[in-house]
Amino acid sequence: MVFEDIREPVEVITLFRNGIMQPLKFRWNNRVYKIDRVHGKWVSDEGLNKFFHYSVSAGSPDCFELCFSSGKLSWELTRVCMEG
Amino acid sequence: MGIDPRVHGRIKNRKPPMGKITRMKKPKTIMHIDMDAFFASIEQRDNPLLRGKPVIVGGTLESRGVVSTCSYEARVYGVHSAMPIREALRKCPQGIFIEGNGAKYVSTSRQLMKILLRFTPRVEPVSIDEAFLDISGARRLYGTEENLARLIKTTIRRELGLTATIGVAPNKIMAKIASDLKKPDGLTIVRDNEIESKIYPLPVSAMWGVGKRTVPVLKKLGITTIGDLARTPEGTLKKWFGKNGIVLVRMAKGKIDSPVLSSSEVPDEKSIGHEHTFSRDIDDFEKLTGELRLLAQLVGRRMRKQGFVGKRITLKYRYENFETHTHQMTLLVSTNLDDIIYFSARKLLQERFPQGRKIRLLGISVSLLSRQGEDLFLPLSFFDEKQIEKRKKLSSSLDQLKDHYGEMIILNASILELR
Repeated sequence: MVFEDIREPVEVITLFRNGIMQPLKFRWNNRVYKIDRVHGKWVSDEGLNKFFHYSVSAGSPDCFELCFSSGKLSWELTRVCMEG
Repeated sequence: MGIDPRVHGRIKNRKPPMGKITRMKKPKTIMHIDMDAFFASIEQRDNPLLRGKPVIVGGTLESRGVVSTCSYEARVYGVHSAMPIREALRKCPQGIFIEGNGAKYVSTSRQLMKILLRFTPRVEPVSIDEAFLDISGARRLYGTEENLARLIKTTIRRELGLTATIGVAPNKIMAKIASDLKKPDGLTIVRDNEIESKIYPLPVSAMWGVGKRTVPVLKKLGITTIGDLARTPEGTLKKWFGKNGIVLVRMAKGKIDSPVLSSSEVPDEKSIGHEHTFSRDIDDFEKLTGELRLLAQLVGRRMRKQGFVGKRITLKYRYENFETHTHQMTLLVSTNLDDIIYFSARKLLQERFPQGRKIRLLGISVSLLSRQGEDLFLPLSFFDEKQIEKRKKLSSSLDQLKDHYGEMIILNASILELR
């Protein structure tokens, strides 16, 4: 199993509904990943800036950690865990 | 013709004798919730690749840290919390070592506490993954304690994707023991009349507060189970453990019944203190008392800001050769007044301070904290009530000044000499 820190900005199609944010798809390295499962979500903060973290899968056993910054209004792919 | 005692009893119960008010203590139902391998379970929840594998949270292989927690798969190999990472690696070379993510665990813990507060306002967080709930009132809404416990477990599983173990008993100590009986994902209910059958046969080490040092001493006295401890006269243990001996026996009998304190009633900190290392070592008592006054002001102010009062004053001092001493005194009633903290610390210094030795560090801390709202006075009668009122007003005015203009805007003359 390999953990790899990525920390790259990514584009994420996000659904905002009833005060809940839900990432649906993200593009990374010119490939679109359709999120099929959100395993866990949590919040961290730096001063007034909040970071919303999501641990997701996208059609494979690989696991991606996405992070939305409330200050920058942008998404980042924080890290990946891959089999092998 | 005699009176049927049952009838007599009923009549007696219905009409208590005049002039006597009998207040029956309502039996309590306390729940202890303990999340199963909290950090490791969160990692396994968030990463399907980790599920079913020995996950060890606490540090990477290169680190010199210790295991914070590990998954049940790792426990099979003998890995446990507080074990050095290197030893964990020896025992479980195939383990997956993860550094851990504090922010993630704190965030999940907050979510957990929010869930628990939906069931009862009386939730006392014990640690990041443990809490006591007083469900004495909540039971009426949810039926039996078993129904409520199952509902809480299901809610935690559904909303957090984690499992919890629950113990239910008439008091905190028994509830904690009960939750340890069946893990993970367990539920154990111990009713008042089941303490002897379910709790008494357990080893004394299963009880809170009985650690590695206490067990051998108890064993020498022939006490190996909680039942043995409960049946031991308090005086016997007092000889060996002092006041703590009495507490141990009462705990075993289930007679220590501390209330479940909601988070607003539990101080965030165990003590509030300040210490200062001098640029040059000091052997002059007057200079030291000046420093004490400043420390007392800083401590008092922080306590008032956070809304705490405390009962135990601790003085700490370190000699030039790094030999460190602490001395304590416990007040009858809690305080957060600078002068009371100062005079208590000064008294401790005066009593112990050996002339001619140089001091490099001085510190004051106040512990046994509780929320503000109690009257303040000292057993030593430093001040009468009027003076205390005056000093409260003075402290409040000084706090306002400092809020506006900074900590150093107003200082006691004895402190100025030090600056």
